[in-house]
Amino acid sequence: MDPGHNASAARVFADVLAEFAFLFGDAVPAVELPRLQGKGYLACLPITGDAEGSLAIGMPEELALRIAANTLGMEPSDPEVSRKAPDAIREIASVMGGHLVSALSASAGALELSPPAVFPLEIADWERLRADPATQCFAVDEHPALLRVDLAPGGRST
Amino acid sequence: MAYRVLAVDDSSTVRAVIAKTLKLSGVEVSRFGEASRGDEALEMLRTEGFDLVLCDLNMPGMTGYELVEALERDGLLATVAVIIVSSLGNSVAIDELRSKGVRGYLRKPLRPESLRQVVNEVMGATHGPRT
Repeated sequence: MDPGHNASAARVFADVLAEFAFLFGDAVPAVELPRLQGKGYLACLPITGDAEGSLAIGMPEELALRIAANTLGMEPSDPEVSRKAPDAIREIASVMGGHLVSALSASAGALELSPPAVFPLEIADWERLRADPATQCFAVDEHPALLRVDLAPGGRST
Repeated sequence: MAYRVLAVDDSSTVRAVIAKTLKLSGVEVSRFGEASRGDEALEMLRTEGFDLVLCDLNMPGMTGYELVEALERDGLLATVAVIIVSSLGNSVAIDELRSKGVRGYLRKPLRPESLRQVVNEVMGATHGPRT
């Protein structure tokens, strides 16, 4: 993974969180990241084209609820927010993917996105992802979040 | 003038955000319809009256690109204004969609002021914010 791609991904992550959900994310070392407490989500977005790979975002349910609440202008305790939390994560991954593809177009070429999928994230999976050196760790309003972009020259022949 | 608006996005969160942003933008809406898939939107547009479609591109099943192509084949792009609402910023793809008859493009995240501006441009009307 190109370090420039990681830097672009981190910028996009912080910008989209701020614009989409009015939340602020700061990069932190993996060892300083709080452990996942309870339920988590992982949003995965496949990337194809001149380079191939994926964008993955992991977060605890509490942060997903904050994102959904802020996006919808509702209280996190609202049952509607709880119902929409996975969908809100999926959408924020989709928006990040779109912005990331634009940011990387000069260095990675033409990239295409597929709709993201959201999965429940168990503590063991969270720890594995967090410990991977390719994963970037963030504190988002005191909640932990994980960002992973895998891109390799790909796929498409011209 | 109030518009009949159809929001097409696989995300229910985005459809709710579109409804909220329309309200905040001051654009008058007489009817707000929702479709979670392109084929569902196509059926609604064939059978029900809408003035304005706010449509995502990256959707499972029939994508926004395919919906625009179907609307072009049906001749519906002449009567319904389509604005793409997407996080994708590929100018080549946007230009191609415009050449097919798409009237406008908004990049996510959606903001009331930019929505109002593009709707005004597309519909040729002037709306102030609600007071």
